[in-house]
Amino acid sequence: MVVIKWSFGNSICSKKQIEMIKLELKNIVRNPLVSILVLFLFIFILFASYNGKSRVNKQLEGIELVKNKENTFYTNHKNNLKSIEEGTKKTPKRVFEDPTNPVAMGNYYGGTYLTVTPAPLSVISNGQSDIFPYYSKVNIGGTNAEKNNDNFENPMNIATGGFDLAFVFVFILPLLIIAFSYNILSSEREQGTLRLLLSMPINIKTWLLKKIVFRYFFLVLLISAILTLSLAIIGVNFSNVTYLILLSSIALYTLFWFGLAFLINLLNKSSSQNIILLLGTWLLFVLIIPSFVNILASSVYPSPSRVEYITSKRAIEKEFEKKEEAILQKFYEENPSEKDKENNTTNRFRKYWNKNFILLNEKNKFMDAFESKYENQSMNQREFANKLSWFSPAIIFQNTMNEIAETDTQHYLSFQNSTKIFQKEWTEYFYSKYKNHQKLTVEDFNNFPKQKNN
Amino acid sequence: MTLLIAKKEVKELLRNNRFRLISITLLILLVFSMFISWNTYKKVQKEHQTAQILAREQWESQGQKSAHSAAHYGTFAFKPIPTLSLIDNGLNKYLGVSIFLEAHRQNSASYKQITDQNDLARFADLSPAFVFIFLMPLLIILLGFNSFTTEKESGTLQLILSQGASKRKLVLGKIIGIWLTLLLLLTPVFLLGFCFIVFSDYEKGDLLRYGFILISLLLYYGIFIHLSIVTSVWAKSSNFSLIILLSFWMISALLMPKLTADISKKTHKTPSAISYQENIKKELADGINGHDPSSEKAIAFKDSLLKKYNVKSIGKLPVNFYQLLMQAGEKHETTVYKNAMTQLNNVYIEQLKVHQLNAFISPTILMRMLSMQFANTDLQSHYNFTYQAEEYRGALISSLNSGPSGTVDTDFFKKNIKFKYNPITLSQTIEKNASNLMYLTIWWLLSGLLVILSVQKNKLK
Repeated sequence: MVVIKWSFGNSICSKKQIEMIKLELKNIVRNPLVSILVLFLFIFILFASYNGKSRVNKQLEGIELVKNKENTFYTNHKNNLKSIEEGTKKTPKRVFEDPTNPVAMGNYYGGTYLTVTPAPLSVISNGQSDIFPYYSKVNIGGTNAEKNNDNFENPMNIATGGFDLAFVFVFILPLLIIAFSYNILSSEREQGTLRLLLSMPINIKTWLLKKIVFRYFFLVLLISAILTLSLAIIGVNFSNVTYLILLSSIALYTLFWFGLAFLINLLNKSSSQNIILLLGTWLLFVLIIPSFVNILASSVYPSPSRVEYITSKRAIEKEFEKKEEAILQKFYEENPSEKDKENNTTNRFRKYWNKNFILLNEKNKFMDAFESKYENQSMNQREFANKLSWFSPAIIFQNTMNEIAETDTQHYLSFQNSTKIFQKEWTEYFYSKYKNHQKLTVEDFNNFPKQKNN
Repeated sequence: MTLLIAKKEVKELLRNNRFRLISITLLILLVFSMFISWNTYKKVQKEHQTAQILAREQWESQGQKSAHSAAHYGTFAFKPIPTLSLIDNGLNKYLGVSIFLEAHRQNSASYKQITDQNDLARFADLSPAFVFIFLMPLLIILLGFNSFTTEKESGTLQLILSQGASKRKLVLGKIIGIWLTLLLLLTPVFLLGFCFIVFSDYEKGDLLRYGFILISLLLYYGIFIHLSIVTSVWAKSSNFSLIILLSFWMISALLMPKLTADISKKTHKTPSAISYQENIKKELADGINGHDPSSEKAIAFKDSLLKKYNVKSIGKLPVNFYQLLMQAGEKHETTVYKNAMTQLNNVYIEQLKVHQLNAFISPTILMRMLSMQFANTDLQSHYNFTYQAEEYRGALISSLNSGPSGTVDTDFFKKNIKFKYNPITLSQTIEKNASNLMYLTIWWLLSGLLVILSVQKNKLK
């Protein structure tokens, strides 16, 4: 930003213009309204950053809690296993507590937690972080990415939405710009100085443009400074490229609103009419277009009915139960050696899991096909809404901030997807041990599948 | 005289192009949003009814099994959609639609609509309540911000006063004028809302509830009318008056609600899901487990039974030990879950109190809470649903645990009790939110007092 400012200053600024900039600066600094607005902006940005920070901290605490839980479980069992191998302890009678049993360690109380690590700039936008869970327990039985690990928050507070930086920039910043620029021309007329201005040998449009451009750079620099300061105060690391992207998108969004203010000033109406017009466009872009796009998207691609989903899921599970025999039979036909093994087992636990492992994969496929019907419905709606987001810069800006903060829906959905993929890897690991009647060793405990890039 | 002024005011306002444009836009938004929510309401209601019947069918035809396996199989309770969600959908989008009822654990309502929607669903929801509560005040501000300032600026005020009109009558006339214009605009919309409710399967009290929403809305609009007049009387220029009023709207409708949400999270911390569940697990482990007859607690329970009936072995007991053990476990589990949920709900209630407190700065928060409460789409009515579902679960599971000890089938399941939901009654609602209604009235009175003060303080010259 600083660079742009200087190049601007060097190339087209004559002495007279430097004088003008000085004068403008004086005007702005002396205006009590401006200092009040700047003060409020500072308070808002600081408070919003602080809110973001406490949200991220809560998430980090949660992640630590689940990781601790997982570690305690496996460390205890590893120690038990050591004692068993050394012969100081006996193998526990209960299967679930047996550290040598791969199924016991990969299922039931065992399992690993996959987590969403907050992005470096996660503080800037709550996004969808209050409705999608940031961790999921994975074991042989499945994942709970979509259920049971709900983010607890007061629904009233979720519905109201938080006071985050995205709110300050998307909603409040335009209002500030409006307050900054609604009466540049009209105030001159209302004070009677417009005639004086017109009598001078200057083009009124260029004059207005210069004023607007000056205010624009003033505000963008100010916001960048305040934001950087606030993030530094709450201890967020902003020395990365994404921070520059954030600053430039703020600059672009600000540009849009100043441009609009310029056009409306040109209409040459009274100050009150300017405010009403500007506020009208603010309502239009920030509230009305987004809600219309939402209505349109959810009418063209209605959200799936979860009420219907619940009962259909039961029906489809029953349907699968009927298929189970056929699947098993087919499997044994293809793998006759397994059939012999099966006939020779008397162990109830192994009998159950022999069957279960064969069915698990098929069941996952079957259920995924069913679920994807519903998922696709919401996906279509989201894609459609994204296409229409170009109608309002507010939507684009909000989406950009969510993406930078990695709190957008897509991020959470791909997390859910990756848990599903990981779940297969996890199951495969324990199944191969189980199939070959291998007992788990202390060494195995260090080699359990782990979440990547974390 | 007052009426004359009012008439003139209405005429002038109706002639104003700006007013016409804005009111037509708002009318379109209102009618459009009513049709949309009517459509959604019909669809959701139908889905809900089918699901409830289907879930029961699935329960009855679950096949031969022991009664306790059936309890594990479980069933669902679906949350009915209240008729007045037509007007205010409240928190419904953010709350689960159904609860899975099974043995041993109390589940919270799952599948929130919001997780299936596009991201914009969180920007703003174009519901009738949104237009009524958030946008209408803007129209009022536009109606009133220059009611006196233009007269001052053009000098007509002195003219009117010199002709013997009293200031009191002038102010009253203007207020009535704004009211008349507003009602002219709103009455058809209110009637439309009324028609929508009448043509849906409304329950006793729903029309009265709608009436209460309208009364609170009128009180709420009254506050904005008063404030507009006061500002217009005090301000030197229309410009200044507009800025002050718009700032108030922004603080009341935009800033305060969001600030409050975050403040309430700080003053009363919501536990994280994981720590909540860990606590439950810990407490469950402290009690008796119905599936584990070899545990210390179960043996103690057995001994107490043997002692009570004065026999030596389980086989000689006149009651079924395993059923009783199962029920004892169930009882412990129910208490643990109930305590945890009550604690969580108490945190939420405390947070709502923070919202209520901040309503002294923002009447919009008050109005929003009031309209949700009357529409039965607030947190309390959701809690009412989860509470009843839990009661039902308790009754169903205990009837299963004390059922026949062999296998049971459809004949038995058909006799199981059905879930019947009783929504919060109107008198309960009024009892719960009388304080909110009172605060809104206080706002109305205080703002009215300001009007009187502004007339007496000789600001109109």
